[in-house]
Amino acid sequence: MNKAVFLKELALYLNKMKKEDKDRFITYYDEMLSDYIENGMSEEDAVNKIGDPKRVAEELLESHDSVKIEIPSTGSKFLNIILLILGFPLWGSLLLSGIIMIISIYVLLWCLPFITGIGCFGFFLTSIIGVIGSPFIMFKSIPFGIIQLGTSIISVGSSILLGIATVKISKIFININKKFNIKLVSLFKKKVVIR
Amino acid sequence: MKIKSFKKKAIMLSLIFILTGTIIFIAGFGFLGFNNNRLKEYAYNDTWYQTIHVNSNNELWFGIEFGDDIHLFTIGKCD
Amino acid sequence: MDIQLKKGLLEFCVLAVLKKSDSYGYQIIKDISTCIEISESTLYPILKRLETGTYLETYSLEHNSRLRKYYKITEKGKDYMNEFLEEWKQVMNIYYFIKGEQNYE
Repeated sequence: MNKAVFLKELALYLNKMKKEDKDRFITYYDEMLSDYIENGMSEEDAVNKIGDPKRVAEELLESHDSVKIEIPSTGSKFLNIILLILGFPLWGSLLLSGIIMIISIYVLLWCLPFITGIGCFGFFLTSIIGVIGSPFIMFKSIPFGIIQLGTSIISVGSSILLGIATVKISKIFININKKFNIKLVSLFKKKVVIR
Repeated sequence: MKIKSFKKKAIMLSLIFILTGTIIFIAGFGFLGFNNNRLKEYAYNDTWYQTIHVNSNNELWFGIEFGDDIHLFTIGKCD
Repeated sequence: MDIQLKKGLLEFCVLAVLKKSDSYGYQIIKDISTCIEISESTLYPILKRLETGTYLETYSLEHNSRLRKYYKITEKGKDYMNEFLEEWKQVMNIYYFIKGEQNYE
């Protein structure tokens, strides 16, 4: 690598820096290389003595104190506000339909645990009444009473199962909810880049 | 049986209930000779503490009925 | 050697070289290299720091149709160096103490 190429590459790796600082660095290394060459070293050797431009740039960036805070900007504020107001019919309705879609998906999702929850409760109620009623039914007809007792006990079991299912499904949905919320919020947070 | 998790215990319990209930149910039904119609005979006079009913189309349904109008929980068609 | 320690010491090596006479990048490296190893990339931030602290000043002279940047030590820089030497006299004493102690083992 010759001097010109080295300096060009170095400049490339340093382009994150402020212009004044970058120029000072390049001047420094230009001068250094020139001195080495003037004192008998070959261009190749001089460049090798200094090292790999990428590594040099990394070291410089590390020990360098300049902090450039970039907030990605999207044009003048005033213009943006005007455009926002003018475009309201478009983005407003899109936003609204987006919100409604999200709400309906929520409702749909939560229907499931709602159903299992109601089922759990209903079975439980039925089983209580069934168990209480079965001895009375037995006065009417014993087999019938026994049948009722049997179904009641099955109901108890079903109720427990549905209860467990409801709890489990609810947990899963709450998790999904959380993840979605985090993603949504991160979309709106502006990214500030500090160099 | 040592089952540590509460959830697993609950599931076990519910399965036992279902099993027991089914056995009793089959026993009772057996007395009636596994005859649906005989079951329906008894199901006509609805009392509030009865959980097995018959509707106007002579079909069985399972659930809670208070009087003629209030149904709390039904599986199957009622009225 | 500990890198922070080395960087601290090199600062004063630079000032020492400049105390003898004004100098420029290449020459500074050459002189310091007789005592301790220093790279061009290490020298730059040291020079910058010393300049920010006004321990040295810079000026440019033309040399073979290009501009060469020269560094010159200031009074503040000389005082700074003397402070260092005073402090490290203590270090030297401790050094001989420790060394001496070992002989009496």
